[in-house]
Amino acid sequence: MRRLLNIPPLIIAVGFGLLTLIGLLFVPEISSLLTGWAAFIAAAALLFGVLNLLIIHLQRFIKGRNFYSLVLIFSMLLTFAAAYSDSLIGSDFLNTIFRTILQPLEAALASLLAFFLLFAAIRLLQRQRNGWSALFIGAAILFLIAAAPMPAALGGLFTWVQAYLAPLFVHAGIRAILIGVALGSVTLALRLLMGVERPYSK
Amino acid sequence: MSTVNCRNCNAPNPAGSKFCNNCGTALPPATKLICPSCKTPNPRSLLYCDNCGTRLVQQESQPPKPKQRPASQETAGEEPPAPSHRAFTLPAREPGDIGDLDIHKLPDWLRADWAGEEPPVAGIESAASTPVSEEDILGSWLNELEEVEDETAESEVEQPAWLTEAEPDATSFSGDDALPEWLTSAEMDQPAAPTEDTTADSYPDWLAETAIDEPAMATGTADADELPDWLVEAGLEQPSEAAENDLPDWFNQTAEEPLSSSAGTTADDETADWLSALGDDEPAAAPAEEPAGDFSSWLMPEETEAAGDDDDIFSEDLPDWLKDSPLSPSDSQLKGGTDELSQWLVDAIETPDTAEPAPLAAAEISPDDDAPDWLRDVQSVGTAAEAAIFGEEATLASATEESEAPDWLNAQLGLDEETAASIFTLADEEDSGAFPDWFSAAEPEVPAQAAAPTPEPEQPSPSDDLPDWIKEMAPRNTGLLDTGELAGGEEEAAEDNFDWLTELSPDAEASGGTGPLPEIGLPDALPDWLADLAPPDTGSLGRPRTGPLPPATPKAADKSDLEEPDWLADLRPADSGDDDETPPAAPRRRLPDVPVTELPSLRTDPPPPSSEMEGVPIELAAAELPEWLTTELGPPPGPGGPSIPVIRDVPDWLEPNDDDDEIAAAVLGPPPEGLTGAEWQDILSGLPPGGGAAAGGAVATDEADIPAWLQALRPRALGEGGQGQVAADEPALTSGPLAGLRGAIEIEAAAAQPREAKRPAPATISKDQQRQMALLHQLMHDSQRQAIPVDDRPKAAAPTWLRLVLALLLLLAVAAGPFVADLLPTAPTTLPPAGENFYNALSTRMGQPVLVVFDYSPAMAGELNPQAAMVVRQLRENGNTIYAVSQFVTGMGIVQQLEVDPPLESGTFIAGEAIGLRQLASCLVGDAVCLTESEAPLPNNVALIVLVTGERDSLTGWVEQVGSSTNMPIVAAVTQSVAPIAQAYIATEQIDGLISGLPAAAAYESQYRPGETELAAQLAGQTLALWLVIILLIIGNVWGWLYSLRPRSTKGGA
Repeated sequence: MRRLLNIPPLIIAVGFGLLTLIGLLFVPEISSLLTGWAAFIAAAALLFGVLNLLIIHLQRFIKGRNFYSLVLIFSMLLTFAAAYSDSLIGSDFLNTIFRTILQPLEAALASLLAFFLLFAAIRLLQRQRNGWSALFIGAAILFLIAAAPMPAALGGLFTWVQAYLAPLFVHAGIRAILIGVALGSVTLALRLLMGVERPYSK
Repeated sequence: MSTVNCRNCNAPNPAGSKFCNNCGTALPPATKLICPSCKTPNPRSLLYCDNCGTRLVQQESQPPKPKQRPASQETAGEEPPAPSHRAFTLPAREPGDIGDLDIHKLPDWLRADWAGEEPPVAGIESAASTPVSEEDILGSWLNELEEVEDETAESEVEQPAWLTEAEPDATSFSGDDALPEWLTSAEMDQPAAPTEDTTADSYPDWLAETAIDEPAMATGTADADELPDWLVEAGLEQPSEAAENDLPDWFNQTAEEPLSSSAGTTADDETADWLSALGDDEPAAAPAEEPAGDFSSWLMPEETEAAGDDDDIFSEDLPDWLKDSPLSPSDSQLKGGTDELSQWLVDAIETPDTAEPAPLAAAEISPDDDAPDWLRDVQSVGTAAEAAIFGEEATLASATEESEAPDWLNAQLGLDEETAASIFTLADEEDSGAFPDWFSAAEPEVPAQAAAPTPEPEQPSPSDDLPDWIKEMAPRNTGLLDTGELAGGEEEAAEDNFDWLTELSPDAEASGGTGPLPEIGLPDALPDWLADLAPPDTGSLGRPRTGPLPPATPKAADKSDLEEPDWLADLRPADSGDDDETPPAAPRRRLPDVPVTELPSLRTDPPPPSSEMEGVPIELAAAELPEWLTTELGPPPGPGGPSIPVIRDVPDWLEPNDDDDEIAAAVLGPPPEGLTGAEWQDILSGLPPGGGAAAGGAVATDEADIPAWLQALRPRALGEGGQGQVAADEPALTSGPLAGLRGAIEIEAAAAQPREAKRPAPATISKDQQRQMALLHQLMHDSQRQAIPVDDRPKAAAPTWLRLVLALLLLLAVAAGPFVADLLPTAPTTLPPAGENFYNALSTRMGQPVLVVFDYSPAMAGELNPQAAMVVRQLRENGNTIYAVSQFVTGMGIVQQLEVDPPLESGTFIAGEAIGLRQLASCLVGDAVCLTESEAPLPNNVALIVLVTGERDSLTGWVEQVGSSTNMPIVAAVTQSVAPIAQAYIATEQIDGLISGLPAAAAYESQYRPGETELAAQLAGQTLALWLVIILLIIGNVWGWLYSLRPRSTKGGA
């Protein structure tokens, strides 16, 4: 019975996958139409997601007296009102919110990330003293030197590092990662089209 | 699952049922074990309470170990496993010991217990192979004894009426529902008999039962309790002292006992002798209303005090086995046997006056309820026969006394001289008036055919003279034995006749019951069988005796003729010859009319000699016993014992003769209703060997001739097999249905005692277990306190000052960068080729629409905003139309912050990531209308896509989804973290130009944007911070590595 219930989603997924593939290769209109449906579904999912988030936090606030849920709901409604106001009366509430609240917070979080990374790297050998840690911290220092601008005092001391080490190892590594991602994407696409991978059934 | 058979319909019902499932009759309540804790009734099979688990049976209650074990059990290996716990123990057979039983020959009342299941086949082996429960072995009638302990009334109902009327106290018994006492008394009194097996084959059953093995016999001690009543009874029948001289001493001594000792006319005195013997065994103090006590005392008569224990004579002279015989009179009767008639005989005469309630009680209790037919026959025939014999004896005695009854008889009869004279002088008359009226009235009771030729005696109505108890019994007998054809004109007379009296006469039966009944009291009137049984030299009995009998003389010629009662002569074999040595024989008692279909094979072979007669007192030596009695006794017990006669063979007079068939035919008469003549003959012919004996056995076989198959069914006494002596030492039970019984396991008393349930000892938990429990609890519920050490090194917590120093250094490096650019000048960097391509791509598409993508978050704004602003300024300088888009929600906000003059024309948010980019690509190539949130839609002729991003997915999405599908040139300005990925696309020419990071942007600014130093100052601050980071990393790791190398003793908290 359970297998029978899995058959319709499988047919739909495989069918639309093959149809999209065929559209990309031979009939772009079909592919565009299908991607348009997908975008609409994604937009609707976004809307339903926002509403679901609002309902959940309302329940948490009503039942669990969760103060942070109340803050989230208030921020959501305030941002929605600011955006609606900007589009309705031409105000700049949304930009102000971005500039005064969102951008500093994200910049601070990124700075803290740099600080945490630095502090963890400094204590690496103190907490986990092994060869891999030493290799890791050595590579980090080396590539920092390769990426950092050279002070004028150092001259061309690390020029060879910047000229050979970065392109050789970094580019090779990045390309390997990209190739791996591409192979993985192809494999995943084949699995989806063959019905082996069924994320919609989970 | 045990079942209980309904008494009404015999349907099996589950144990514990209150009503019959078939007919609804109330079933006897089952005995329950009351839980001492919760008072819940539990079945007897449970050891622990079904409700609360309290132990119902005391664990330490062990059955008494047998002190003695008979050799027969030792040899046979029949050692019953001592049960550790049983509710109570009844005298029972050994498990699986069912004897030589043929279940198909069992009567219905015995087979009813096996209803619904296959009864065990005869043989101990088969039964012993499978465990058989006690209830299975015991008959239902015995099982019911256990269950209906409180139903005395029902027991009384089930008690045969003849037993009730003979034994008034028997109504107090609680367990004698269906078992005749004459059978149980013999059974229960049996001690261990090493030669029991041979005994059963050697003796007639009735003799084997009675003569079995009292140990006291071997020692010659004559205990009054051990003397078979039947022998005592016979011995007391010595009518005169003359006869006593010729009789054995022990017999004379018994006869010398004053009869007045029994003048109390207790209830026991009025009962049959053999029943009185049983009654004497009852404890005197046992109240009649306590059935349990009576039952137990009845069950273990040897443990109770005999009523006549104070009689030294009987205690000394009478052997135990002789005294305990069911046919023997009680001690009190023996005491009164100094004269011609014994007390029990007198009692029989006095019964109409003194024992009237007994037959009434018997009449009230219907014997047809539960008693089997043959038992009912026993009760009627036996009692009637006794009464008839006794009556005849009295009458004959009176006749021989020449109408002058002796004083002792008058005294015993309680008659005054006139009354006695009026009675006994009737013996002088020629007609039946020679007998007492009551006896004369019985004369017409013979079968009509026998009485037909006899002139109708002019007697008053027999109901006037006959005792009531005889009159009550008579109809039953007639119903059973009155099978003769009545003459048509004599039917009325036949109704009044006591036909059962006729059956007492073998001759009358031999004559088919149709011959005239000789007049009793006259030589001519004497029945032929009496005449035949009379000794040869007692021909006076056969003559009409008109004058008074001569006084008793010691002459042998006259002894048997005059002093010896006729009944004794009747019992004596006719061919014995020697009358002088004829001892009193036990009055034969008729075996009831056992249904022929259930009649077992009667023993006809002469029993082999046995040593069961061990212990016969020396007074019973052969020298003093007549031959005919000697033949009934076994050989001497052995060298150590006294020389006693041993019954080797059944006397000839007990053997069937040729006339038995005729007797049987005369007695049995026509076939009963429902049977044709042929069937009746078939039944008769199907009787066991000795058909004459069988036929006669149905009429004249002594009751003691219990067939072996029936004896095999009897339950064994608890003390049987030597345990009886053990039981004698054990304390008697004080409560329950077995109260007074010794040797039984007092289970119920133990269970009834309130006893607190033993609570289990508190569990002791060792310290290891406690530690394990604490650890488990801590792991499950208190994980915060559980420290899971990574290693044994001390916790390397960075000091707070170090954290603060590092944080301040990083802030100073970033913030001081623009200010210290001159302090730490960077070396001039060359613009990479990808940078130059970037510039060329912008320069070649001047004035064309350019799509600028701002795919980065505010977190990346510090690094990318200078690049994006530089690119937007260049595009403005080139006159390009700039369309800003972003996949980030915050992208449009970033665009708003760019201080671009004039501001960007439009901006839009692209949702759907890859799908949105795919749709945008389709729009850019002109396949669809690209709508934006702004009023102006995106143009289809976008010349260049400038991608400013710090995300890898954004870069790959734009390159793979839009660039590959539209072939539109893409130039990218990315962060240094994404620069390696962008470099890969540069190599594949999927991206035309690239500005990677702040250094490249600073080089681009310095090369193509002269006069701008914003990116250079930012690069100086970044360089300082980067090198500070590099230095801190190196120093910190070196210090940490060195710190870890220090000895542990010197390690501090840091």
